[in-house]
Amino acid sequence: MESADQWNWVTLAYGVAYFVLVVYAVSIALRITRARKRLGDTP
Amino acid sequence: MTKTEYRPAVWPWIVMAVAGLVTFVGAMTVPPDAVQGQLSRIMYVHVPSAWLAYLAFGITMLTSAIYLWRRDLKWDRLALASAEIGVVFTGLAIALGMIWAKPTWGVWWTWDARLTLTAIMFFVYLGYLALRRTTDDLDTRARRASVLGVLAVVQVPLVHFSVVWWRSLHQGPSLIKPESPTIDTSMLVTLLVAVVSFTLMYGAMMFKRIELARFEDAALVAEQTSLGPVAGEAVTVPDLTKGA
Amino acid sequence: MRKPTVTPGFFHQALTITRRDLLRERRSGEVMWVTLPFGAIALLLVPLAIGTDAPTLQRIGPGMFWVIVMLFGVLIAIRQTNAETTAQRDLVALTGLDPAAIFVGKAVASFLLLLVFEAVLGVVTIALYDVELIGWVILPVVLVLAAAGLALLGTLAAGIVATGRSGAALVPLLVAPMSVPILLGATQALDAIRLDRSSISWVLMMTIVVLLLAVVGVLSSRPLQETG
Repeated sequence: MESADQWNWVTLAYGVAYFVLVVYAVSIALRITRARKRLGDTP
Repeated sequence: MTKTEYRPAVWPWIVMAVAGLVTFVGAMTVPPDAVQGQLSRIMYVHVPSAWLAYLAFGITMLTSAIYLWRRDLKWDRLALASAEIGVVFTGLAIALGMIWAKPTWGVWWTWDARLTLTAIMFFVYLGYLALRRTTDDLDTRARRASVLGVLAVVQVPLVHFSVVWWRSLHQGPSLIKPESPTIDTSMLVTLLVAVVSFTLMYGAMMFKRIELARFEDAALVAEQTSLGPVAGEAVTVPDLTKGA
Repeated sequence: MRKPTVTPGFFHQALTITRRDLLRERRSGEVMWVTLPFGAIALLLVPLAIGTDAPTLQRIGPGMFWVIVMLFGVLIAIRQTNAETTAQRDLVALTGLDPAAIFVGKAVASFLLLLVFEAVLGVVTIALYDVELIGWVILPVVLVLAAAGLALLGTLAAGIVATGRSGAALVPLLVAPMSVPILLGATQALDAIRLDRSSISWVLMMTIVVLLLAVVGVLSSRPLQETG
């Protein structure tokens, strides 16, 4: 397999991995904000 | 939790970012594998994800059992946090494994023991999270989830054993090998760094997720015990918090 | 003066529950008239989708049988638990019956119904897939162990979920991944006979699964009853 093709797969893998991790981390942050608002605790 | 009591921590975000960065830099600067070429770089996110999938699973199930023993909700929050994070890493491990397998061995899926087990584990996680959504009562939810946790602690090793045994009987000599037979020192070091980084990332995520759980549970309890109209607007619960 | 009443023993209590559940089944007929036909039609659908050539069917027949038993059989265990309302469950709890006895009673009822389930679907499989019956000693043992394991797992899972609302599919979702040792044990034990290997180890593993599930079920029956 061509090195370029291989890099495509590597890019896909890292793209998926970091996208998922970032989205998950952001979701935690957003949910914390929402929970605090429910508590009447807006920052 | 009130305004004056608690401020959400910032350091976990920094830890997560640094861990991600370190892993990325390591994976991109390490020399490629002799056999697999650049594809070997996928290993540095796939293996740590798989490791965390199993670690998080173990912690979820163990803290579930401890809750049943101790009846302190903090153990239940720990179990939930680990389960949610575990689902993310398990899904990631499977997805990355598939992205690695396709160009390397030509198939998206190989029915080897580890991959099959990871897939089964993913569904056990999902079941655990789905179960938690069946009730809003904190204690009921915790008790149900922790019994499931105990059941999983007992049953999953048997699942593991039976699947490994099954594959050992049926996996004929094949060219499909889960990893390279020998591993270069620089690759090994990078891999270990990646595993450690991801573990720290897991720890930081756990901290924030548990924080979230505490906020959410507090909000839930506040809403459940709030004073509100009883029998329509005509009658309200008397406010007993003010002085007589 | 009347003699003071004696608390019924554990197995007497369990048997009372078993009798109750079997009576429910006799009255509603859900297993016989709904779940069983459902399993049978599933076996019918597979060749429609995969192909009806005899060699293929003979090869997949045994496996299909066990998969259908595992997936659809759990509905039998659910039925036994979700048939009752919270009020009925509370009433039984108030009678002071040992929750472990309630669990065992339910599991035994499901076990018996599952044996019938397996037997009928077995006949259907032999007919539709032209499967050869082998292992006259091992086969009944495996059928019994699989039914017991599934009954215990299903009753336990239904007890954990214990809610009338929310997805009918949650209990099967919980059971399915954890039924893998039972599934593998049953299929591999019978496969081993075909390949002239020993089935004893797989049978032993299934026995361990059944014992462990029984222990977990009994021990968790009281904490689960508290949740209500």
